[in-house]
Amino acid sequence: MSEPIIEVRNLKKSFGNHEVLKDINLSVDKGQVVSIIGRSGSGKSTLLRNINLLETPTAGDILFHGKSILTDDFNLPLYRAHVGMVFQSFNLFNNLTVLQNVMVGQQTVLSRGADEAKKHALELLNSVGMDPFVNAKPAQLSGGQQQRVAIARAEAMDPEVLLFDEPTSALDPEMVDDVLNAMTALAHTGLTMIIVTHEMAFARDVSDKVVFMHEGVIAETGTPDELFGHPQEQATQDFLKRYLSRI
Amino acid sequence: MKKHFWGRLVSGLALLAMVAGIASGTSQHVGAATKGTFKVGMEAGYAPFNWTQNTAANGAVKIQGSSDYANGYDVQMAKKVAKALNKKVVVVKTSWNGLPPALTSGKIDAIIAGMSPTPERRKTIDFTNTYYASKLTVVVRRDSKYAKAKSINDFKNAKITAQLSTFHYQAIKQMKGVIKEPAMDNFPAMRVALESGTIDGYVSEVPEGITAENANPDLTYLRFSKKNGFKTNPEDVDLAIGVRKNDPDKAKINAELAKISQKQRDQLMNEAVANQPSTTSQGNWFIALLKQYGPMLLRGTGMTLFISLIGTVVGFLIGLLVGIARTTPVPKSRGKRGLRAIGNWLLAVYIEVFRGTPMIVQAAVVYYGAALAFHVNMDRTVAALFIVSINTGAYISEIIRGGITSVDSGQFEAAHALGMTHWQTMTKVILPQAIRNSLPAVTNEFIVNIKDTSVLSVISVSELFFSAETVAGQNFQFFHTYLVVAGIYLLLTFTISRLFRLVEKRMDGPKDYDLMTNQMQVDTPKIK
Repeated sequence: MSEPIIEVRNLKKSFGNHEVLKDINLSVDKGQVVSIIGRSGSGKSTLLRNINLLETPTAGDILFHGKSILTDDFNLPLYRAHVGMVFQSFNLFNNLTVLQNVMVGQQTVLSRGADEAKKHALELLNSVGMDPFVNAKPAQLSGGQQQRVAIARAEAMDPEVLLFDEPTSALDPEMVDDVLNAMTALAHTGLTMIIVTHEMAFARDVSDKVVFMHEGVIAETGTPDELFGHPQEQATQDFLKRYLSRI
Repeated sequence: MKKHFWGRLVSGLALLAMVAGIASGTSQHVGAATKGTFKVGMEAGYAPFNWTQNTAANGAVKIQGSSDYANGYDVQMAKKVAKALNKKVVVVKTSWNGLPPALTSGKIDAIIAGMSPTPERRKTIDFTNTYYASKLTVVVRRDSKYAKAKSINDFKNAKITAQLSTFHYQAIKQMKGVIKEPAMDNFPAMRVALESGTIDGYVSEVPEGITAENANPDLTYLRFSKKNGFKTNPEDVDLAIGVRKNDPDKAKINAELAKISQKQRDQLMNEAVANQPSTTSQGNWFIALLKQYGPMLLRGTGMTLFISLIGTVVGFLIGLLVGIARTTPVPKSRGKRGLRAIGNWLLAVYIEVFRGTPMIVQAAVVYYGAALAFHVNMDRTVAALFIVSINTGAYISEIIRGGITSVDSGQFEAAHALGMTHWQTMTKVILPQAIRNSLPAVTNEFIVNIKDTSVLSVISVSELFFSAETVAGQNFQFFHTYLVVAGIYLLLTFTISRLFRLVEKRMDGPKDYDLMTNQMQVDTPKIK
């Protein structure tokens, strides 16, 4: 449990003159479930997008299994296949059916055969309860249904790490539970997960580690009990005061 | 910096044009006279010298690449000359302005099209001795006050014109007090202009005057005495056969022409005037038109549809490739970045050049220019397909680029996050959506192509408009002919827009998803 799978070192990210991430150091162990919480604009999503290199870091380094992912000869597609991502806005491929959405990555990136990809896809869709909708196009589904398909799509690559970028923020409250249930089930499989979320109850109950971000830096890190039970920093306390009253 | 580039590009193009011009003066060895054929260029729309007809009657000759026939004084003369040369005569239907370049570029071996050996023309091509001597006249309305003119100076304040690039137009200068109207493209158009009163007369030659009078009883041509008529240069009124400079066959042709007496020539002209297509029609004009010219128009429609369809499909493929190339992500290494920049610059030049110049100019440059400068003798249809494809490609590239940018950036991110390469992302995810987004604009482009292929008449491709011009040139029923042709164009474009609408609907699929009624659910795959 102690081998770090992803290490973020002195990460900085600026958009023009606006410095979003100031000096981030974070280590995620294999099998760990890490929740990143904090106010909107604190840099949570930017951190996650840097880890998947959807944004290029301005300075600092990111290590995957101890190797930098920022070198020129780094195999980015392979890395991304190992580090999946689930988006706030689902981003299912609009031109493909539910089944094809879950198959396409396996076939193109992992070069799996159609039969194998289909079998795997159906298993995963079944586990998130979306198997009756295999032939639907994304536009025909509700948000919660789309997000469950998106999770299956990310899972289908058999990733080592899954990144979740506010996966329930765009959903109606009654759909949030479906998605959170799917994520909880995943967390119990031993998959490494980094989750940016505003669902404090989920973060408290499912994570091994909680990271609180504030104005571009990691303000406080700890186990759920430490962070939710005995927050040390003033900023953490202020933030949690608002949220915990809702749990 | 950017201006610099464009400046260089423009001067480069100008240089190319100059080189082509020089080449035209020096490339006499572009021999097209091979394997015993004598390719004769003519408009096949200037009765009684040359015209188009449906049958081989009266010794007509088949028009190359068409199932129509050409006949007239020029055709009969061409047959005599070809016989003397021991060659088979082939008629190549070519628009008037396309004749000299077609000759110098070796697409034809001779121009027998009622052309006069003017000094300007002699600069680029050579001429044989006279094969018909003619006189200038003025064609007017029979009921106008100018119909009684005895002299070319009796036309005070008359609006007079003549055919573009002919000495007829220069001759208007000799008529005192006339209003010189802009030159017109062809005789049928001038006749219509005259009849409608837009002009009061046009300068022409006697045989054309006879024809106009026969074709339209409302028109007449004036017979001037030598003293009161136009002062003409024999080089102008004498019609000669245009050949390439230093053509070894010129002497043989002259020898054959010397054998044909003035009497025989008059006889040939009388036959031509008598045989030229009749313009009087009985019964329903629509049925008469379809009966006489239906097959010609149908073939024209087929050609238009063929060129615009292939052109749009190939253009679409070009557009896709350019679209993918221009949206590739910026690579990390400097060398690759440089390559990408050069590639993008070339593509931008391609798009700007083909989008920024008229297709009619591109057609002339590619078809005649390629033959003059590089001795590439392209088939007309191939040239047409090439031009339309590459032109459409330039437009569709931009349409596809727009389609790609309009795809939600989340789609790119999701594909990249799965580990897809740029090519995989494009082909599996982005392009299917970009194409759907672009489809209305591509349909538009197809419809534009259907109509714009009409400019290909400059390289004498017998598409619908060129066929219509020929028909109207023969029956003088401009309104009726073009009304029918307008109907055909509308039918084509309307059908296509409906078809593509259906395709769009199909691509969109249903908007609802009902588990109970959806037929697809009957065979939901089961996990084994």
